[in-house]
Amino acid sequence: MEKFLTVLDSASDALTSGFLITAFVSAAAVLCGAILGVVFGLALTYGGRLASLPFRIVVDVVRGTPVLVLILATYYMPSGIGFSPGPITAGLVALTVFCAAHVGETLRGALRAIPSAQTDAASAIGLTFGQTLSYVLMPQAIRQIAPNFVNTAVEIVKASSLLSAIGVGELLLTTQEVIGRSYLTMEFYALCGLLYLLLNLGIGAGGWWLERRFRIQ
Amino acid sequence: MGYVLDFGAVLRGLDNLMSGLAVGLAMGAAGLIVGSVIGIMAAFAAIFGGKFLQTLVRLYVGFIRNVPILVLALFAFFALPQYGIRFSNTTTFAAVLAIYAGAYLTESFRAAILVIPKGIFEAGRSIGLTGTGIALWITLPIAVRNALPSLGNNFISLFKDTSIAASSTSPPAPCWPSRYASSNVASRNSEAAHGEISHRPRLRV
Repeated sequence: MEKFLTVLDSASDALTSGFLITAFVSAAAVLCGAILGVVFGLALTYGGRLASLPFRIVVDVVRGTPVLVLILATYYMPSGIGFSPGPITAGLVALTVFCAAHVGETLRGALRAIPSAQTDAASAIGLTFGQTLSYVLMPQAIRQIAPNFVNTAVEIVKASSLLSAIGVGELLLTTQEVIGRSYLTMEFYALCGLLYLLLNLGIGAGGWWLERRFRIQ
Repeated sequence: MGYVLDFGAVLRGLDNLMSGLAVGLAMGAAGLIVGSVIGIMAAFAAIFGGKFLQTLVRLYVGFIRNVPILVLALFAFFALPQYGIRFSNTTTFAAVLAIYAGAYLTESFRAAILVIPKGIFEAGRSIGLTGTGIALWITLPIAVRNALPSLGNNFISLFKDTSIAASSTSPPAPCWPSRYASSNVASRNSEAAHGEISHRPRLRV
């Protein structure tokens, strides 16, 4: 225990920066993924057969392959055409696309579930498609997908641990470096798991609060 | 440009890739079966058990669902052996998958039990079944049938998670990127062709 505290003291800066990188990469991926996911969801719902096809393919491929493969592919495959993204860029792109595919698919389901009579009513009072979307459909759809979105955010934080495989200095890789120096395997993996747990419980609590705050009475 | 795709490397390694695929499928299936047993027991404990059991299940599910499976796998591969708990690579990873899946399946089975109409239990009691009898002959078969669709989804995500075995068997070392970046060029093609085995870890599962 004493040795653990000594090592923890000397490694706390590294672990803090690892934790911050994990938080930053996850937050950026969730944010960009949510925006791109809305585009995906709209294209899948209103794109028609031809325009939605490329989005359908991307969503199915991303949902059907492991995140680790997606991350390794975005990191290594571009170098084949003479373009090599840095590990953080590649990881961010992979996690963003992963997030977008999941958000897009759930948003499609939520939009489909809204009765079409509402769209008819909206056009009867003269709303344009954009207005229908922003005043009628999206407010309902977003409330509908909120719990699922929180789950996706937790999945992204967990998936960000896989970025250690391409050398992003996030929480897990930092932990492994500390373990490599100190051999305190049990202690530091437990600490690492605890930090992920706290981060994700925080996301869960935040999501729960937002859901309650924006619930329609 | 100037990069020539060479899928011949993929074809030459096809046997190897296929055996890797079989290992992945087997670990996924083992994880699902053992995970289902854990999930059923935990779901029964969460619904019919006392305060203590309910808290225990809630802690288990809350902990496992919020920690990355890679951390769990590394813990099982590198921390537990220090305390004398050591199995073969495949067994260890299948056990991690089972514990991981168990947490998700607990929720599935809990939902599957909760949607069973109360009248069925009353019917069971009226024909003289005991509490255990009702659980075994009424709740269980209906719950398993209700949970089947989510079992399918769970198997898909478990099979995807078996790819993580590839990075969890590497020893913790700060030199990961350099090692992988220098790996052979053809790995890029096999990665594209095959979703399952993306690179060759130092220790094979």
